Amino acid sequence: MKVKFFAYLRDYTKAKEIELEYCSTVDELLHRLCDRYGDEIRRKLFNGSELSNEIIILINGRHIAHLEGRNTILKEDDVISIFPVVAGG
Amino acid sequence: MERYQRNIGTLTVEENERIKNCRVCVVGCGGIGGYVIEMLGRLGIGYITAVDGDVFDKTNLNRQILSDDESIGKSKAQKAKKRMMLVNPFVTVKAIEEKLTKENAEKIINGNDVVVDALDNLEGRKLLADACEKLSIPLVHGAIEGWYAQVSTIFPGDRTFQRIYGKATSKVNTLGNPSFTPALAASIEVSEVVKLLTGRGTILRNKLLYVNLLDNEYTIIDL
Repeated sequence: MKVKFFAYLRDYTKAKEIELEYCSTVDELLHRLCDRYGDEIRRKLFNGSELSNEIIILINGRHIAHLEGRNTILKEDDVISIFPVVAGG
Repeated sequence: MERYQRNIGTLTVEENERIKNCRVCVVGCGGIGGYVIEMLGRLGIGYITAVDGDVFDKTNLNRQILSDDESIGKSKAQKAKKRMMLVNPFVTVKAIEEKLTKENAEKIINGNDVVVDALDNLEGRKLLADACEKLSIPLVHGAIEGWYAQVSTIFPGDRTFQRIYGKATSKVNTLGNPSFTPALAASIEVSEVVKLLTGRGTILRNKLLYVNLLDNEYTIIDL
């Protein structure tokens, strides 16, 4: 499956996109990314055990809020996009 | 009028006449807001409410168009009014030197056709969105950090902020605020305002335009 990283998340992943071995849910995928890229990305993706409010996750262009959130079931050919939101002015 | 001659083609003469009677409230007169007010006023939006309880400090000078060495310590909202008197005296600017609060939000935005979010904090943004929803006023949202900007247009009932920011009430900016990103966000916000006022084109409703200037990527996310 393809995972695309946006904005400064690329500083941690050193890549705009990667091919990742199949993960069955969004939650599994996020934990796989944390294992792969370490604490810096973990702090961006999670707030304690909760999903961070600072990121938007899309599955094939659909916000996971409209799916099953972090429990969303993934398919082999899904494209997952992860964006950090911004709030300055 | 010669002043607006170069608007024509982008806007029709009728549209340019119509926006002279429009009212836009800009909440925040800093990095994004200063540019928004500048562009709305030069276009000829007739009535602008400029809201900001802050005064300029030296850290604003790298990006805020309304700031200069002589304005340190002075009201941002009042400076917006003074500048527009020089740039386009046919525009009426009402300066409100108050921070947006739960108590004053509805009173401040009431009577406007569109509200522009040019704030720099989540707490204020959520207050503003709630007030716009209550008074049924469309809200154009813009935010920046570093090389990144986002813009969305929100109608009452859309609950867009909940989808963008979830339950977050604050967010630390570690990426800085350079000169060019606020100007970009402001330009896109103003074009959304003009489309709302004229009924033209496609607006970013239930969508988030996400701009990454570092890699020249412009992505529209369906919210």
